[in-house]
Amino acid sequence: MTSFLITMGIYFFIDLILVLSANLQLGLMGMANLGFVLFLGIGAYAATIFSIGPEPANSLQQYFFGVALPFPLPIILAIICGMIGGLLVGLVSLYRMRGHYLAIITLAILTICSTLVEGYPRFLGGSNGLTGIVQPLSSLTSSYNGYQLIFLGLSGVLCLAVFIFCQRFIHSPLGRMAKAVRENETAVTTLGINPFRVRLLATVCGGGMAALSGALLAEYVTAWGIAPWSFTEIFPATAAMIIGGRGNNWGVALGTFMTYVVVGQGLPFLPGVSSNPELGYAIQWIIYGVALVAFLWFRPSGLLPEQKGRWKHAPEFVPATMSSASDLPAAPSVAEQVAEEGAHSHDQ
Amino acid sequence: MTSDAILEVEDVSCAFGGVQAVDHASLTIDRGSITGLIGPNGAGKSTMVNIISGHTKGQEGRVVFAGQETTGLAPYQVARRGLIRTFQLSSEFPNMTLLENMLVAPRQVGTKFWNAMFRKSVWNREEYALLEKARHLLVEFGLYKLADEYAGNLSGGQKRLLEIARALMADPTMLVLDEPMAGVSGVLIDRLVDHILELNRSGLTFLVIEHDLEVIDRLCENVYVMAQGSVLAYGPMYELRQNESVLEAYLD
Repeated sequence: MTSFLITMGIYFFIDLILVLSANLQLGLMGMANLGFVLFLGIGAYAATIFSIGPEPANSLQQYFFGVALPFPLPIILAIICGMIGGLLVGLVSLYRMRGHYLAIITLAILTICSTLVEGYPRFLGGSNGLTGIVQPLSSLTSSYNGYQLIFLGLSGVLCLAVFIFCQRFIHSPLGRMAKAVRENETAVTTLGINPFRVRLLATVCGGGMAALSGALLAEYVTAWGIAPWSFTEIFPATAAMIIGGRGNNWGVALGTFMTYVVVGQGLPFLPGVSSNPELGYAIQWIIYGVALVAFLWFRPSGLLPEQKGRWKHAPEFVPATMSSASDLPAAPSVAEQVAEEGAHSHDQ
Repeated sequence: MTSDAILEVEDVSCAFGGVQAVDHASLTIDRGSITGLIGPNGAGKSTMVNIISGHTKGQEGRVVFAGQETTGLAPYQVARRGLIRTFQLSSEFPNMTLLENMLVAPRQVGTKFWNAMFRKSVWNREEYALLEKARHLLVEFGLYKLADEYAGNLSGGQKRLLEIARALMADPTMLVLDEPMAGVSGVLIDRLVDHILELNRSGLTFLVIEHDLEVIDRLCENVYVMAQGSVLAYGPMYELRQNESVLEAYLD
């Protein structure tokens, strides 16, 4: 049971990183960039290639390059590859595409990449995928349970770092600017903001985060291929984000817990499902679909909606307002406003 | 005359397909003035504003703002030089509060990635100074009790007020208002007119496009009249009312 909980925790952290990446682009900026699964794959392949070592002479596995770098390097390089991928995709698509055009082009790029990998097995193992990925820090302990704990700690720390990163991003003037780009792109340009720069920044950061998630996933499972790298992965991540609350990191965490852990991992406990994995899989997709439609219909802002920006009142504000506003001709209700604000300023 | 011109539009043309929206039109706006731009529908007023603000690229001519050529610059680059415009349709950020709307406008150190992530102490001080300014502006515009309300919940007239207040947060030297009174009635029109006059007294230059000629009369010393893409006449409103060609353009 403990081992099961640890596994669930590891998956929660890995999936949360991916959903946070989706949230930064779709939730905060409203960019229908479905490429986060592409960057997930880039990260997973990069982490594999940089940790697996050179291709053995007479092996069934085929891949190019292949080096065995020590622990933090494969993950760091995976993040960098994801960011570069994000930059390239952003440069190609963001300049002109919006809305569903952007969604289509990012889907197309994902399909091109997975077809390329599948059709050219010497490149990254083709449809057989790659196995035997070296797990990070595996030299520290030889026991299975011990290593599970180490990986839980590793993914937890990285997930926390990503979460803090997203919190700082969203709750800064930069995040406010990003939100404004989502709300009205034309209006933003008349205030001296270059929307392209903000979108590109979010895509690069999102690419790096998704790649980190992919790297951890590949290293945990010790295998990676095109099968898990499918556009169907977009769906649960988007569902988690919408159920939890677009633009709210805590909501995203809650949504990830609901979709990936409660539904994804909890279903096998139901009687009848445990003996029939296909049934569980089908039920899972039905629940995702129904929940997504229900939330978009009845509660589009999710369980924990995006927060309003709130600031503490400067203590000297009210008197300053009175004096400066008293000589203005066109503010008939200053006294009222200030009085009213004063009355409920305590609850802020 | 040209020495105190803040905005010069020289011989600008712009065609969309076969439609010549602006046809060799020139304008000069004096620093510190409130200039009107009127004309019947399809006269090219909005295209003219779009060329000035960089939202449309003209095919000919040049735009000079504050002594520097801005022809062909992107809208955000024009805005950074101090020329801020508003839109015919109000363009608030609906799912952000009024205060958040206001704080998007000024250039802040906290919008740089590195500062936003790692130097909160640097941008926080600036943020609070701007917050103070935003609150004062909201009080002036009679929107303060709605400060934490979503901008999308405001009435049409309040959105207009917010838009102008937000533009002021960016410290403009010139404001171009594209039909600021559209969808605004009665008392709010008076309020907006008073605000514009007050701001002008403090040194802000305005170019106002408006269909409501009475408002133009109250605001502007001089008015440009456009018709069919060209500038037809320029002068104070009482002169234009006697101008044959202007009357003709409006009757057509």
